[in-house]
Amino acid sequence: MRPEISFLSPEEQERIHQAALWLLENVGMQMPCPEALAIMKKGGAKIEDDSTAKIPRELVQYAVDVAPKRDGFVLYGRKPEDDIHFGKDTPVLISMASATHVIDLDSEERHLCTSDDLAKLVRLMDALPNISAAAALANPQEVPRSTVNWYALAILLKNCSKPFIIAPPGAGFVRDAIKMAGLAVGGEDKLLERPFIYFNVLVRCPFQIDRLSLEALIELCRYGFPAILGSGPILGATGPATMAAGVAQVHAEMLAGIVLTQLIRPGNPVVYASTGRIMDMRTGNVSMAGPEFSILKGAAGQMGRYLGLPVKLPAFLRDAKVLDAQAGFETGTVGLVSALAGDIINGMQFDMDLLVDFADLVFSDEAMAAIKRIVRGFTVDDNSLALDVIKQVGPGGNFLKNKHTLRNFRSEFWMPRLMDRRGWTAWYADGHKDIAKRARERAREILAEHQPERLAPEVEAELDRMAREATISYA
Amino acid sequence: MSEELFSGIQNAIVELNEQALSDLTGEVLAAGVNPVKVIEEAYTVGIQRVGKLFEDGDYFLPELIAAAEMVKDSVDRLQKTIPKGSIKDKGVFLIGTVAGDIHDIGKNLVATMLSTQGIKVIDIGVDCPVDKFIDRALEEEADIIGASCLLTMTAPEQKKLVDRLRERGLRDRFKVIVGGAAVDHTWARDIGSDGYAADLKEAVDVALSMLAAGKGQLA
Repeated sequence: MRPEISFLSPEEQERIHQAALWLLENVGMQMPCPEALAIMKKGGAKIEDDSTAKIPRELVQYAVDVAPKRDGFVLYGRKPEDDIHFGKDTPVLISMASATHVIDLDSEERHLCTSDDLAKLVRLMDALPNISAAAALANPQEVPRSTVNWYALAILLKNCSKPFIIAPPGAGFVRDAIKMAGLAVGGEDKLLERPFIYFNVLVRCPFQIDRLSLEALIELCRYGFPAILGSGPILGATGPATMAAGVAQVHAEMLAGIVLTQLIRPGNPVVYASTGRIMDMRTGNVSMAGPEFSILKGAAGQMGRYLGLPVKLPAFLRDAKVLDAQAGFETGTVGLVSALAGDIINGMQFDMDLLVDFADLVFSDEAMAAIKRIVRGFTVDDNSLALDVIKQVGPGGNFLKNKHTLRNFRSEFWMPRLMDRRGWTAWYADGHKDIAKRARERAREILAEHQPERLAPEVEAELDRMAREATISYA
Repeated sequence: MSEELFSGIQNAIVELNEQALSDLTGEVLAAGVNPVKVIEEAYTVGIQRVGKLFEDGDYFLPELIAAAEMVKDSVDRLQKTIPKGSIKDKGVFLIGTVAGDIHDIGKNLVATMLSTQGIKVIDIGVDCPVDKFIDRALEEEADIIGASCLLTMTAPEQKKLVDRLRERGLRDRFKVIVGGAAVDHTWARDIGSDGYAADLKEAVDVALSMLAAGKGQLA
C-alpha cells in the first residue's frame, strides 16, 4: 500500500469541515471586487457591506460536487513527458516563487537576485529530474518591480520546458501570460489544449481575497485554466493560535475560493493548497519549517483529500539560512510529512522564503528522490515475498549472488547520487566534502552542461518586448 | 570473425546476458580460437567495462557480481580445453576470514573481483586459524595472503598472522594484505603487513600492483 499520514480522525475531519461551513456562513469572505461579488450573489451568497460574501452550505456543497476530483488530474508540461499525472506521478516537487536573494554559485556570497540568476535557477530546475515544475524561485531585482512577473515569465519560457506556476497580478497579466506562453508553443489554441502555465491565487488571511487576485481568478477560470488556490494563515497573527482553528480557517478560505471558481465556470480544475504556518513568538518572524508547519501541512492535506481534490503543500521552505544540518532536518521532516499528505510539494527557499541557493536545488532534488521512495511503499506478492529464494539460499547463505537480488534491487532500493555512503577513508581521500559542497559542485557541472530547448530567436525577442512594455494598475 | 565475436562477448557481459555469453563461449570453443587471446581481449575487457560502469555509479554490486560469475563460468569452460599451465595467472591470492570471525560478504566480493583480473584465487573460508592461512599458502604456492575481519575483537588475528609468518621464517615468502570494517591503513602498517584495502577497487589495485612488482622485489 501507499503510506499516508493522519493528524485528523474521520470524525475530526468532519468536525473541521462543519466548522468551516459555519465560518463561511457567519464570517464570510471579503471580496473587494464588484464582479466577484456579483458572481457570488448570483450563486446564492449573501453580500454584506458591499464587500463580504456569506456563503450558505448548500452552495459550498454544490461547488465541491462539481469541482474535478484528484484522480485523472493532469498538470501538462510543454512536452508530454513532463506531464504530471496525479496519483501516478505524485508526490512531486515543484518550485516556490518570489525570493529576493541568491547565494552566488562562485563567491558563495548572498546578493540580490538578477535576471541572469533566475535564468540559471530555471535552467537548473529544467535539468534536475525530481523537480517537476518550475517557477520564479527568486525574482530579478534589477527590472521594474511592478512588472517583475512579466520579466520572470519571459525567463521561465526561455529556459525551461517543464510546467510552471506563476502568481497573476490581475486579469491583464493572465491575458498577457497566455499570449506569451502561446508564443512558445505556436499559438494560444495549442496552449489551451495543453496548458502548461498554472496560476496560483492566494487568500489574504484572514478571510479576504484582494481585488487583483479576484480579477485574475475570474479571467483564468474563463479561459479554463486550473486555479491553484492557496491559504497561508500565520497562526498567532493572521490566524488563531490553535492548530484546529488554523486548519478550519484554511479549509473555509479554500472552500470560498472553490465556490467562486465553480460559479465562474462549473468544472474548472482547482488545486487545494495551504501554507499555514506560525509566528515565531520570540522574533515575530514567520516559521515555515518547524514542527507546527508539518502538522498544518499534514492536516490541510487531509482536508483537501476529504474533498477529493488535488493538494499542493509548501514543504521545502527552511528557516535555515544555508544548506546546513538545520536545513537538512527541516527538509526531511516537513518534506516527508507533506509528501505523505499531498500531491505537489513546493519550496527550495531559505530564510523565510527570501533566499535561494543553487546548491540547495541539487540537494532538494536528491531529498525528493528519497522521499518519493518512502511514499512509494512496497508491494506484497509472491515475487516480493521470495519464499523460494529464502529456502534456496538457506541458513547462513548469502543473497548477493542470487538472481532475485539482481532482478529486484534496482526497483526496491533507492540509489543516492549526492548522499555519500562510502566509508571515511574513501570519503576523506576524495576531498572530504560535506553535502553542501558536493551539491554546489554538481550545480556548477549541470549549468556548464545543460542547455534547455531554446525558442526561436524572434519568439524570445517578442517575449522580452512584452515584458518591457507590460503595465499594471493598482488603482 | 573474431573481432565480431570478441565484441559480442564483451557486450553480453556488459548486458549481463548469461545465455548469449554461454552461446558465444560455445562458438569460441567450436571455432578453435586461441583461448588465451580470447580471455585477454574479450572476457577481461568485458569485465573491465562492467567495472567502469560500477565506478561511474551506473552499475551496482549485484550487477558487478553477476558479470564476474558469468565470466568465471565461461573462463572455466575454456580452461578445460587447454593443457594446464598454458594460461599464466598473474599470481595466486589466498584469501580467508580470520579465526573467531565468520563474516564473509566483503571477503567473497574481493575474491570474486580478484578472480576476474587473471589472478588465481584460493578462498579458504571463514574462522581460519593463522596456521591454516600459512599451510594452505605454502600448498598453493600463493604470492599474497589476504586476511579479512569484520570485528574489532578479531583484528589481532591479523597481527598474529604476520607474527607467525615471522616465527616460521616465512615472512619474506608471502605478501600480506589485510582488510575489513574494523581496521584501517594505520593498523595495517602497525602490525607490519604489506598492504591494506578499504574497498573492492583498492583490493584489486593493491593486489595487481604487488603482483606486477614481482616476487621478491617488493619493498
